[in-house]
Amino acid sequence: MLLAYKPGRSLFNRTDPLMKFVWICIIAGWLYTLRDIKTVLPVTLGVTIFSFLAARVDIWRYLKITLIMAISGWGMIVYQGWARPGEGISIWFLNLSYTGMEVGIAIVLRTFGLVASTIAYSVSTSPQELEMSMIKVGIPYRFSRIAYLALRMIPTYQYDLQAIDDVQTLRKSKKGFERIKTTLAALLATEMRSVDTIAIALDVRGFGAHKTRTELNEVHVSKKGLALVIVTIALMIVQLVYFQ
Amino acid sequence: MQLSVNNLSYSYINGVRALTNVDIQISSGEFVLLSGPNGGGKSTLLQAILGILYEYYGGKITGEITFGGKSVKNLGIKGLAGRVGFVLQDPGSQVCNLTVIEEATAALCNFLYPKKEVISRSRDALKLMHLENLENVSVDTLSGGQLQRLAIASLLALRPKILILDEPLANIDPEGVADVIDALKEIKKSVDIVIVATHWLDPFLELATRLIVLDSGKVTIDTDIEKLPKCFTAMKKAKVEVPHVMQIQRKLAGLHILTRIVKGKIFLPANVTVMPVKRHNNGTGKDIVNLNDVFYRYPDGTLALKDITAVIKNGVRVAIIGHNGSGKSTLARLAAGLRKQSKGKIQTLASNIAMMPQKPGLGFITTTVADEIAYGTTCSAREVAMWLERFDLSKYKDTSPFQLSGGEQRRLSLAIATVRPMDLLILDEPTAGLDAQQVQFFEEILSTFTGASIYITHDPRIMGSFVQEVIVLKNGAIQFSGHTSDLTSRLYSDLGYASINPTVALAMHYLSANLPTSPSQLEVQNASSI
Repeated sequence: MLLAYKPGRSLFNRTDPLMKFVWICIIAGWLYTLRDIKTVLPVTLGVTIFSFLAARVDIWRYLKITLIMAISGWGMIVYQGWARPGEGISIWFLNLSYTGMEVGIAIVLRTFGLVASTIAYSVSTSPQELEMSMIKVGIPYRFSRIAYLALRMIPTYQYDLQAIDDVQTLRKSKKGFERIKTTLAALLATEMRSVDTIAIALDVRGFGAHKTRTELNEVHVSKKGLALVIVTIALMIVQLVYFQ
Repeated sequence: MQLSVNNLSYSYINGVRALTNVDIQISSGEFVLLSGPNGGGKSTLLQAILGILYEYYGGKITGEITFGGKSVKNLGIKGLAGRVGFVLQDPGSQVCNLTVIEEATAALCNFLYPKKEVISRSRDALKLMHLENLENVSVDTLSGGQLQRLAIASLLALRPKILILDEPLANIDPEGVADVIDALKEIKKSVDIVIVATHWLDPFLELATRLIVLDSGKVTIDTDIEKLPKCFTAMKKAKVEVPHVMQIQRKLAGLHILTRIVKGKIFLPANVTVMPVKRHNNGTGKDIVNLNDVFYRYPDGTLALKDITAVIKNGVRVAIIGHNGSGKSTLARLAAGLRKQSKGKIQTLASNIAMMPQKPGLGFITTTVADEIAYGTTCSAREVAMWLERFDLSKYKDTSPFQLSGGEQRRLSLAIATVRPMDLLILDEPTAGLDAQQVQFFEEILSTFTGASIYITHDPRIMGSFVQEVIVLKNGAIQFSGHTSDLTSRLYSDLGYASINPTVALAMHYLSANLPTSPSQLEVQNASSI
């Protein structure tokens, strides 16, 4: 699975989770300060290429996701074109402005960049590291543990999703939206049953008995992480000052 | 240390009575088996002991539970955590961490133990459960038995006074069963009270001191294990799975062979030898699925199955067994045409295939039970009603299938799979968690099925007498393939039993279950001379 954590020796795998977390926040902020295609495109491309290299993201799987995003991105481009007035083109009964469509494309590109950096973060950060980073930035452990659990259960949900698909194929259920609807209903209803089990398992192990818990591992800011953040901030300043 | 359940009654929030005047006193050193039919009140009683009933479900509770003289209600779940350990049925759902050591330390960390103590206690617990060499291993790579031992270890690290286990052997392969039983032998030394809720009594007989049976929310049997043979009729009446050793003893008594049972083992007179009987399958000979030198790789490149050559014939019930991750589900899916082999040839005559997933809810498509049965068929309303009646689901006709209990969902799943004529049926752990009566119902329905069927199961109740052929998988390759009796014969020749211990035999070796579940198949030599 594209978002699942993969242990490894990539640059991102060896970078501390806290600085990666900060990095992803900077990238998000940076992308959302950019408004036009000419500035968004190079930043998105740069972030995507860096993410691939630094976290060794499976490029083919990323392209699959990008394809889905590109298809759904058309909706955004059309909507922005329709919603914003100005000179443009007419398709069937829709009048789409150039300005609006450009804004739509910029939004889609920004999303691409954000997705690439998120994938880089998630494939190189174990749920435990994520939990530790969250605790470090002051989020109570009960909440950070829930995030951890959500990531921990992804393979189970993926396995169950496959089982649903298999059964529905054999039962020759209708495809398209109908299949999506029945799949989601079966998955949600079944997984809700395991929520009780997980809750009981956590309760009998004293989860939430105290406000804090003993942390066996601690997050330390590494030189690599610090360098990553400083270089990104420097690039952002240069881009915003000289190329905006 | 004493656990007292005093005149406990409980009704759910909808008014349904679950427990009635339950009175149980359990003292230090006791190892109690809690059994009874599905819906008999076992889980409810366990939840009451753990304080879960008071805090999670509401409803009306009368009577009292005390633990070491303190009221469970007052202690609450958090007060009991650490003192009472609870191992749930599904080890996969309760193991919430990524690695073995993270899981073992989790509970201690929650109680704010200092780092050093967390590490030393966890390591002690892992050592006790023979998991010390797997500290940094991912929990996803553990077998069912190892997962269950890890769940126990994480609780043992807290050094609880009471350990409660709910169906700890469900969904576990035979080696895992032996693992868990060995673990319990160790636990018995360090925990005051052990309570095991189970349908399958045999494996625990050598450890247990007492059996309590709950039926319709009432205690119907409460006896010392030594006196168990005297409860044969009472157990039958209470719909409890009578231990196989007792069934054998009874059968042999009918042949005037006197035996004795000591700690779950049945001892025969010296001049009596037990031989497994060869069975013949009743297949029509037509190959439904033929796999020839089949290999399968996951999309990420991992080799899941290698060099698989097997034939699944019409009318034959085939079990695929093996450890977690040995490739059982993948093999079944290849046979069903749901996966494409990476190499090799698969020929199939099956065009109508049904699959019962391990979690039955995953297979439902519609919004009512009646619609589920009718889906994809040409059944009239009258036929659907008959089908519902047959599966005892009439009263849930208009209910959402997701609202049914676990046992009911399994019945519905079986109804869906058999409502249309099928060439191939795939059943993934179809009887997990079901009581003796429900297993018998499943067998009755499935024995009338005329196509080929694949069972992914470790349930000894159906492995022993119901399934006809077996494929044993290990690391994606076939370790054994053939008649169940052939495997049993091999095991017998290897082991050379002097006395029968079906429990251990079953746990240690696939298909020794052949013996206990079908005593009529025993050939007892020299019987006439006794």
